[in-house]
Amino acid sequence: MTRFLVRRVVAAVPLLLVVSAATFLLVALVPGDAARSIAGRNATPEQVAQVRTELGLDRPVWTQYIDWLGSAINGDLGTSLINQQAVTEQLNARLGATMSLIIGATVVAAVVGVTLGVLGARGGWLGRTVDAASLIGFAVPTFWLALVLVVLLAVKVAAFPALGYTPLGQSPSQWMASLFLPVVTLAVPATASVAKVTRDAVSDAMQRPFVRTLRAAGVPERAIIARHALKNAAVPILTIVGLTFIGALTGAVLIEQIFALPGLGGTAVTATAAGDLPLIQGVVIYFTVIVIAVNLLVDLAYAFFNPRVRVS
Amino acid sequence: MSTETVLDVRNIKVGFRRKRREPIFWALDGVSLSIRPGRTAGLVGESGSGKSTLARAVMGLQAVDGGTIEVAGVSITASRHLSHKRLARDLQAVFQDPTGSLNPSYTIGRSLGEPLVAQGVARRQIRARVEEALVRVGMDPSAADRLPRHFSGGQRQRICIARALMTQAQVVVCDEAVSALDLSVQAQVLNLLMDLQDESGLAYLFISHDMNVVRHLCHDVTVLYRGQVMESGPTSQVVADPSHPYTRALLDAAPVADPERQAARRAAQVRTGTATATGATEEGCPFASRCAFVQDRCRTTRPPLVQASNGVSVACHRFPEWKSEAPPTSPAETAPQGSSVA
Amino acid sequence: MLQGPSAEHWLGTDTLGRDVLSRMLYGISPTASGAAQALIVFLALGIPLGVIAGYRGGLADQVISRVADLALSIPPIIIVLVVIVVSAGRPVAAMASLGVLGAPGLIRVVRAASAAVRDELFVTAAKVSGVSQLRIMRTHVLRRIRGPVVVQASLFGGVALLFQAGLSFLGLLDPDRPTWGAIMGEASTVITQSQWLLIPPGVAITLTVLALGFLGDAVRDASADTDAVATAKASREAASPRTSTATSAALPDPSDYVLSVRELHVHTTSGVPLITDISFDLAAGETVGLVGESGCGKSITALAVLGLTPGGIRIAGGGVYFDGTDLVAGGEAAYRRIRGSGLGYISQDPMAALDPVHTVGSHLNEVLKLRGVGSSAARRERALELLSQVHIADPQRVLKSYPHQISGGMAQRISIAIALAGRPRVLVADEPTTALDVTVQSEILSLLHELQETTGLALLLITHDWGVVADICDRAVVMYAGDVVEVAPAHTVFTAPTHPYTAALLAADPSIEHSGRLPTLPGRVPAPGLWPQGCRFAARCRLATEACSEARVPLIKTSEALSRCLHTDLLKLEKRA
Repeated sequence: MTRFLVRRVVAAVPLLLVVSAATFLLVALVPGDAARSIAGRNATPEQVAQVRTELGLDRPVWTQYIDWLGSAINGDLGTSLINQQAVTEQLNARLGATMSLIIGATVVAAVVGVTLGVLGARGGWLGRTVDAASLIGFAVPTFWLALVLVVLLAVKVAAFPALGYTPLGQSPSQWMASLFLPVVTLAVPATASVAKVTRDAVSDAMQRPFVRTLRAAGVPERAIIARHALKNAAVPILTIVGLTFIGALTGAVLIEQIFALPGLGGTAVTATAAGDLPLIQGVVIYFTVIVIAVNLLVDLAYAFFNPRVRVS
Repeated sequence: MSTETVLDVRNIKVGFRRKRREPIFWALDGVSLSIRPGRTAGLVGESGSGKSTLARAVMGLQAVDGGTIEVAGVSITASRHLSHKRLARDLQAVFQDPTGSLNPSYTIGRSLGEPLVAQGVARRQIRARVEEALVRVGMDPSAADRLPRHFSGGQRQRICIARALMTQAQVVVCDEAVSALDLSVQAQVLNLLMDLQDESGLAYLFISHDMNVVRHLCHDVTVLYRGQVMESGPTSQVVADPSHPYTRALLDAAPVADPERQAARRAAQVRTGTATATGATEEGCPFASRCAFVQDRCRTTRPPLVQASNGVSVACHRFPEWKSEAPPTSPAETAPQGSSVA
Repeated sequence: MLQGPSAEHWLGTDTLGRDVLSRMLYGISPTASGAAQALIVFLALGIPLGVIAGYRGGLADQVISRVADLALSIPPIIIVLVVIVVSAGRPVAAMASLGVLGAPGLIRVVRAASAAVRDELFVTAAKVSGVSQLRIMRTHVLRRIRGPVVVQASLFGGVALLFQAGLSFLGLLDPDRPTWGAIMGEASTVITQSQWLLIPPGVAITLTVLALGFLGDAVRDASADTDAVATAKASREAASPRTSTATSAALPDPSDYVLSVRELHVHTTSGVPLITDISFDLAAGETVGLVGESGCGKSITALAVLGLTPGGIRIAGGGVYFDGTDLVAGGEAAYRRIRGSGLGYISQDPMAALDPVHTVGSHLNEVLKLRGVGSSAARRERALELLSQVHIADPQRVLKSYPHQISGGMAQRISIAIALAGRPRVLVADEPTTALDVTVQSEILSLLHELQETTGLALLLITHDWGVVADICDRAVVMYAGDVVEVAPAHTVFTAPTHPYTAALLAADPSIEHSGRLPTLPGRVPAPGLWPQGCRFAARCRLATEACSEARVPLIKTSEALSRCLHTDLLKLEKRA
């Protein structure tokens, strides 16, 4: 098991290198944006050039990248071009909101989705309802849903705050309240996918011949679903939960904007708009590390549920 | 190369390695057989015997690690890049599952035309040849316009046989071609195969796990176990008086449709050990771990395939003395008449 | 400005007083073209790479799959944001990059579908027929992946639309163009004044994505290669159990037998009869073989005995008496009491009969718990005992094994052990040795025989193999087209069959010596719903007369057997001649 973990972590290194180098190259293709925005709109070309030299942006791309990589290995992702703050410091401060949002949405989606999926797998009107609900859940744009929820639950009935974020450390109850609407919004499409995949996978498992053996041996239906069908359906369900998490990362960019949550997604949008290379680079690295960690967890869970994948 | 043999397999070896550093597992280890025109060679063995690997090798779907295969005098193992187009002119195949063998969305005519299209035959000639082939297998020519789902399993297998006839191949590999069919349909297909052979001198390589079917259809038989030939020879000889304990075990295990004879066979059955995955040793006889007549040398040295009598070859150290230790086969056992005209 | 719907402006007006409906219509083009651009890139990359990886395999597959896996680990939004900066907000670049990032998902699906086609027998057949690889990819493979590609494309079209809308909503894509997302972005700025403006773009996007999903499913279904058997129309007459009950031979009292099936009818829910008027008995310690070709209703009979008919199939009449109690009348509750403890079951494919994610020990533990074996130590003890009862050499190790770690023969022994856990009095075995090698079959049959002698188990054995019947059955029940056509002791069914179907089926068996051609039976078993009114075998029977087709033939008692034939005497004469 340890060997498996080590191998997976080592395998993640090239991915981080490729992703960071690719971002670096892409952003470096548009030189000057950062320097120009720092120097101000009315700056002369000379002033911009001076800023560029100060920031080291006039050097070849690969030298810049090697430099960045050298400090990145030591945990220093550089400083933001816009506000001169350390990138890690800035991002760590915003990690809490994003992780609360994404983990919250994924947990809700997993719990509600699997429950609905199992209920739906029994077929009949419940099955059709789950099917229809998951189709609609997939089709509704999250940002629109967010706005509708804000109108209904924050503007019309002031049940939840429409904007802002209270950190967990400050007040757990307000933290919950501030996350309620964003998490629900993000969880709707995720729940729809999880429910659909669970319904299909559990129905498939219930069609397998071993179910007949179990029924013939007198095992009650409830135990067959809980102990056998669900466990056999674990691999596709885990896969979709993992994908849901990655999808929530994308959704977070929009949701954080709408609910004014101080998270990584919002930072990504502002940094993109300003061409703040070190900050974008930092967000990319954070996102990629999160994804790698989630994939690793999913893989470990596969091995737990499926004896064939288990590493001998 | 003899002009008389239309399929000549010489000493072929196929090895697999499941993981790196694991020893090579020989799916086929020095197997030879040959077929003359108008004859049927049976290949029997249980799962894991290598009979399907041999079929794949003969069809050019499996690279061999040693030995040669010649089809109609042309080697298919000489060059690394095999021309399936060239091979298809001389050799065709019929598989176990007639449903899987036909693309469900192709009309019968399109499936049957495929081998001819591959040979570059002009489109307008194809239709006539498709209809001709359908008639030969006892189907209506109008079947060409319909989809496989409109036909029963037996009819689909007839269609697959018709496809094997399209290029006027001299050899047809029948890979468990009747195993999935019901008894009455199986009989029809076996008769069709025999009729076609009588008409045009086709040679069949007939791969089966069913001793009864092989006994009925095949002139010669080769018994495989774990990739090695245990015994081969004229079917009538091999069935009536098996020279290898494994052949005897196979024959004993296949029940016959006669309660009295079956009871007698049960009583005379030679006990074999249960197959284990680790039983065979590299050096010894692969059957040693299950054999009731095993001696020390069986575990240490591999018995060579030697001529016994009446054209039978056998790979057994204990041949022929094991027979005197075995219970006699039930008296009702008689030599088959079948098609064994040899 | 900001008016609700009116006769003049059907969807109201926006912040600048513009007509929302016309802006929505005007927004179709940029919205759709954005999604289309992403979709084109998605398909152009995904299909060829997926086909190559799946069908060619080897190195190409490894490289493509690795890169695809890597790409799937990147959250697309972040790359698209970067691309937006680089391209100065050009929508084409953003949407194309979304296509690139989505393609690995399609590659995976296409790869799996292509790899499955590669293993199809018809592709092997095409190769052996001399068809070139390129041609196989172009014809067989492309045709087969059409369904999954259409579904993926419609899903991705929806994703792209949502993505495009989201980016426009944030104002990151060409803010001057009125895409639906941009309209919604505008609406969000005035949300406290008017909520109406949210509705048109939100509903439009949702409906479009839904429509794409439905379209994809519809196209896939229309182009699917349905291999469904043409469902025969139910013949009302045959569907009614009352009219067809024609068992004239007196049936014994069910209480004399451990299992009695009486006038059992099983229909599909649409009313097509699958088996009709099935009656037979099983005494303690007896082995009865249920014989016939596929499609005759053997397996349905076995499942009906267990009350486990698959969905869409139901028991329409008659009874299954276990120890004199009618399980059909008692309903699911009665069956549940008997399954496992009174009736055991083993199936054709022993490997598939075990749950792959549970160990052998876990299977046995579960059923023993149901049987009320208290402590886990006692259950383990009993499990080991059961495994040695079915002659498993190394029970300790096997308990810890998963199904994929054991052989087919061993899996069947374990299935038997599971069935025996509740000490049943009847074991229903559906083709228990068909999937096994002959030497293993021989071992399993002797095991079943031995278990009967030691435990007094009665065995209902479903088989198509006369050899198996000869080997262990006391009596044979021959089925044809959903009917019992003959019930006879095993020793007479072989020597003096009383039904022409039995005789013909026996004659076609190659284990009986024949010279030259095998005698064959013309035609085939008629499908359920297409059964004639009279004798169902008449059309294929040499002895058929007009009387055979006139009315349903009852089971007629002969000296030793029951036969559903009007000409048993003719058959007997023939045999003597």
